[in-house]
Amino acid sequence: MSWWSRLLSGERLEKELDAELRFHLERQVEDSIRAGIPEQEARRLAWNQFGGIEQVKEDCRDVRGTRWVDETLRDLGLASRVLARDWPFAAAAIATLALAIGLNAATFSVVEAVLVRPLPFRNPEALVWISERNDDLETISGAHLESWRQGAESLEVLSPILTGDATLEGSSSQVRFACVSAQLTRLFGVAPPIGRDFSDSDFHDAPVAPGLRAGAGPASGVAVLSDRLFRSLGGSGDLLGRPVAIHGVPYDVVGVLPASFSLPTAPSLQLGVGPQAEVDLFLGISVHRSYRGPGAILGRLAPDVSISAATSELRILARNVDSQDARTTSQPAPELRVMPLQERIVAQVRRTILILWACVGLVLLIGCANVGGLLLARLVARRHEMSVRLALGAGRWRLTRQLLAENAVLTLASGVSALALAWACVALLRQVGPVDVPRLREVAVSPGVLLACTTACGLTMLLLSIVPMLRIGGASTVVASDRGVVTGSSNLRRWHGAVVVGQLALTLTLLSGAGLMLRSLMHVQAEGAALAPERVLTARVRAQDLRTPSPPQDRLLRNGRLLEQLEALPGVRRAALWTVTFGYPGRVESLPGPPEPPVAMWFNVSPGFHEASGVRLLAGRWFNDADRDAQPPVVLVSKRFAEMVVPGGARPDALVGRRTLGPFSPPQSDGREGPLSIIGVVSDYRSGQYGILQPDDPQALPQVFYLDTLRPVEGGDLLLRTAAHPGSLVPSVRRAVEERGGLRLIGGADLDDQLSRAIAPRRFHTNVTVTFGLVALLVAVAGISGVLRYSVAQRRREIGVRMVLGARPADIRNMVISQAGRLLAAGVAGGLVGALVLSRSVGAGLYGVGATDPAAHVGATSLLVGIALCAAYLPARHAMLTSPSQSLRRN
Amino acid sequence: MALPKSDLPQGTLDMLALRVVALGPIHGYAIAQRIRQLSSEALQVMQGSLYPALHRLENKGFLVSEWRESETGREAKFYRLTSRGRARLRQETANWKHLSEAIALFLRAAEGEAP
Repeated sequence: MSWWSRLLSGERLEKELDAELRFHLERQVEDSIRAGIPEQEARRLAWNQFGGIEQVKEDCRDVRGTRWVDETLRDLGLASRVLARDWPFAAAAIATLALAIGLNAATFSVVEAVLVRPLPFRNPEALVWISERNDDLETISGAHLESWRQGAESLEVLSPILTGDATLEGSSSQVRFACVSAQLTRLFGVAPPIGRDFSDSDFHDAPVAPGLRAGAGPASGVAVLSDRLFRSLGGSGDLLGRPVAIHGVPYDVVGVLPASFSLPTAPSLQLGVGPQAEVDLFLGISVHRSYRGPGAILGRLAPDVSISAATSELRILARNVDSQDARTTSQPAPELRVMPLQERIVAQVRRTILILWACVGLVLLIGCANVGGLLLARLVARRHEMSVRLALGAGRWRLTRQLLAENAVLTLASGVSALALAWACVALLRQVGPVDVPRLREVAVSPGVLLACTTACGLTMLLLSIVPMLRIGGASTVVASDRGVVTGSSNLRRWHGAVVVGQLALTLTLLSGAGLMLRSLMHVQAEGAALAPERVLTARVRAQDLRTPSPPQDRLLRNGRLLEQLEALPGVRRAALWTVTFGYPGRVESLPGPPEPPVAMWFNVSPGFHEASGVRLLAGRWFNDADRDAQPPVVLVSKRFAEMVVPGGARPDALVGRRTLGPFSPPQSDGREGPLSIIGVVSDYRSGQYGILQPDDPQALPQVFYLDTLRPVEGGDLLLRTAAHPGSLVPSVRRAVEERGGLRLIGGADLDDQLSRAIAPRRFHTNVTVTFGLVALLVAVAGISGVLRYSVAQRRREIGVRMVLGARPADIRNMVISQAGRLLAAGVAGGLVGALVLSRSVGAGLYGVGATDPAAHVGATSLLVGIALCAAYLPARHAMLTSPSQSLRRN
Repeated sequence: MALPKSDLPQGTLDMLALRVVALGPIHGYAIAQRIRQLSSEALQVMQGSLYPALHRLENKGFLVSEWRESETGREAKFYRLTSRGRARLRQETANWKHLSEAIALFLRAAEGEAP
């Protein structure tokens, strides 16, 4: 009979055991009687020979090996019944722990999937992201790339990587593409199972990257699709060899990557940047030696080469190239950065995720403290019972076992509820998660984390319930508590008070943090509303055919006609085109600048830009018709420009009339840098369209606006100020654009929507933090109300005596409330310190508010104090309304 | 002359029980009687301690049991040896013989040396 069947048929075995032994004894008696011994004597003899029957039964039960299971089950059953009787305590403890554990498990699952889990490539840690930075702009140089490919021994493979979003022609969905010029098998160690990889010849005659201004290139290239895109296009083998068109350039599909391949990308400034997404389309391209512009390089480190060794080798090679090229020596050298690919992908969200993790960790601490408090209070209430049982001879081990069993039931129940909660949170997150977090699709509840959190809670509970238990005396405590002396418990109560204070402090820390984030969000939203005061439609106009650029004068003419035609549409008030053409250091002549001038974004705008975009003129004037041929050319600069380019900031009107330097070679001038005259200062333009144009970007770059006559471009970003709802105009605008021939309209969105999408991640993180804060508040309030309730119950006798001696009910109420007040005051003091420390560390994530923002801290404090006092009122009222005779008798 | 009654060395009860059950299906009471008879009353088993031993052997798969009518017409639990039990008995018997011979040899040799 196996152990399991013995365990399951315990009752039958018990019956059989009894029958077997009884049979033995009765046969013995019968035999003795037959041998002539009187029955009485025969029975005595039989029992004597057999030994203690109960002892034998126990020995037989031991032999089964199932006894500990039975006893544990019995203990757990008893514990469940005890807890069910004290259900308010059990429910509070389980709910608190389930919330704390569940939220932590969900958050850690995100941390694990996004920050920790290696990318699904061969040796993913050898993949590095190489970029040269000018402030926040990631750039690459074709000349450097060439020298590294020829000379660098620390890297096995090097490929430029330029990512962007485009609408596949003939399909409505946007895809994220990445232009590379290395075989994917060599770069990622993943080979396409369908079709083939890029071959070296694919890069020789490849087109330059779509969207780059580098001019003409060959007419077609080759592409490798992700499994997902392959499926969404029908998933059949006919796709191989057929072209997909991006920005008018056809790329022949040669291969499809396996489904396990996933290359998430971080938001960056390259090309058009859409929402965070995985790369679905690899295009084979070539980067010319003379290219110098946005982009980055993906490399694979040679075995046993460190990142710092690779960095120094690349730096030396790059310097050699620069010293031979006079053109580059005059410019500030960009900063070369090499970092693990994984780090680059999560760079923007790492901080946010870690802050959220810290917050949820606080919730866990608060939860543990709260349950600890509840346990202590319960122990105080049961101290009498425990002491009596100890005095009556119950073993300490027996009592400890009962407490252990109760803890086990609580931990188990909260673990199971936490699993459900974590699972729901992760499911919700994958549905509505913030667009800026890469790899969110891969998040799943990790069982290990859940187990770890549950164990941590279980151990805390163990510590908090067993340690005081061991200090409870036996008989002496019974006598003491019978006399109403509560000396033994004052220690316990002080500990309990400390737990509550700690909890209040942590809660305030969290609430203040949430308050700061909320205030930042309000700020950003208000600013966004100010930026889009009226109805504005944004879209992008592109030339169909990038391979044959038109002469500059034609571009200008075409854009002008297009704008005229659009303004003639019913419902359109003003139309303008703009393009960010380059980043270039912003300087002002004859004013001392910072040692390294900040990079400014140079906007090429049509004359209607200020009316269409809604930027406000702060000083000087806007462009007029005479500016088209002005000499020197004229520009406007942004408020941010005034703040950053002049140390300490300049008043807007102080800049008007001064000169700046631009990177143009205006036809009228022969120098490389032409002087430009500043005629006005405007508010910053933020549309949320590109990473740097987000309304809440703390590192927003200065802006310079110049007229399109200075350097005509084809198409650009379209801004339409409308009278009607902007969305309704998209079809007629599209028709108007496409009628002109050679142009295409891409996208089309309400500027308001666009701004609101741009701040969606911030809104999401704020909502999560506020939720954490409110959960913590709830838990802490339950904690303080619990400690007061038990304290009132304990001081019943004292309260009765006070009332008999003439204390009025209101005095009693005030006594309880002032006890709450003392706990609160200590908690608030600790919490404010914590809040200041925490908010310093989130400081960079704030916008428009300082870490010491009074509104956030005062708001959080008053919320906590208000709600905690309300929670204190109930037990106080209860104490006040108990009649003295009742309180005295019940002891 | 009757030998003085002696207590059983540790672990030998299992072997005795297996030996008795090997003669054919038998219930606990009969096993106890048989042990007494076969040892000419020399081996004294506290009868109660037989049952934990039988249950242990059953759990280990050396014995199987079934309830059936005994010679007096009442239901009793009968034990029967399994093939594993038979192998075990052989092994234990061999062990025991080996051990007792070795001890006897030792004692004889020691006596010879004595002055």
